[in-house]
Amino acid sequence: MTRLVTSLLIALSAVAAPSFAGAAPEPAAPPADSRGGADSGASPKPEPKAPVAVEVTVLHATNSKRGIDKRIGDMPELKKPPFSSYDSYELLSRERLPLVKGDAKDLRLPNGRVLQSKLLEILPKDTFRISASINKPGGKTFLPLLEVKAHLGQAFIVAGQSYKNGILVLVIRVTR
Amino acid sequence: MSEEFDEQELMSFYDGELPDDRVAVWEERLRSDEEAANALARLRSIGDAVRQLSDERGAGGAQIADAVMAAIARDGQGAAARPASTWRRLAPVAAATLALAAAVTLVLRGAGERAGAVGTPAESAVSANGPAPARSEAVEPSEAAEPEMVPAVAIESVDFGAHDGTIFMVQSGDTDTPVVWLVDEPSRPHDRIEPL
Repeated sequence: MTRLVTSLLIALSAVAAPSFAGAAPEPAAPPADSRGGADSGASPKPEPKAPVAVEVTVLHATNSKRGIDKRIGDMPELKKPPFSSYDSYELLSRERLPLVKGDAKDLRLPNGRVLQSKLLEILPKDTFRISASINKPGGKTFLPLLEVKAHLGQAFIVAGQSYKNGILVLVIRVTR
Repeated sequence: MSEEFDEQELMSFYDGELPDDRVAVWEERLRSDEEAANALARLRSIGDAVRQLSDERGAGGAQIADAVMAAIARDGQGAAARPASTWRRLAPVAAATLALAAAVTLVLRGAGERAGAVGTPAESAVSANGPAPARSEAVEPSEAAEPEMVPAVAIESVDFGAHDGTIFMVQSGDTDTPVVWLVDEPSRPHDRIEPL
């Protein structure tokens, strides 16, 4: 049992390298309609310097025989189950959302839902606690809450939202 | 007993990404290495289940995670791969993540390592269906045991709301990427197109 737990912990304790090393550092497509939850007003008040940001890459997975959009960059996950069950991935947007502790940042998704991200806590060793939720204005909440502790450069994926004969795959990476 | 094999390369073989010379090596090996052949069969089983659902249901993604976990459970020989796939309410996910990481990882591992023990965290994840939200701290390696090891990512809690969902890990080179997969309603034929 001890050996098993140890191996599982190792499995979860990946090195601090970015998950998608080949991903372009700059947006490769026009960004989605993003609205800063904290700065959406007309006030010129300067925003506090964000210690961290999340880069949200929105992919559209379909079986349309078009392959993987080159703009996505190197993302081995897409070639592994269950992602490999879709033969086409298109980059819809790549947006960087600077996060300030306590303030929410919204990103409107292609299906009309809104991804909201928050920085909850800054931890030692470039590690951050971040929350995310997905809801539809005036509609049902899709993902009420997801809390993640992530090292700088590391990504996690939220997948499964239906969209135009396929699904959306959101790759959320903690970045500067 | 068969010689240990490279799981990553076997996955590449399965995905058709190996050069011809390596394909030949694997084809030869799979004729004589039962363990490797079984691992490949498990991969094919998962892939077939996923593709079948995807073909049948169009959007398909809603069922894919369940299909994957079901295939793992079917091929996983026992409690180690018991499906910890769907939780309706807030699920403390440290144990769940461990279990599902194990489930995905163990698809490729030998039966000896797969047997038994993973069932414990998997079952604790399944039993976390209760409506009362209960925050769980992510399990991390102890600093004393692994002083250099910094957890790259830990999913601390998930509230799936009214949807079913699952959490698992996908291997990406030296790292594992956590995936939160939710079951959505099928997309409507006239999904509006947003200018991006």
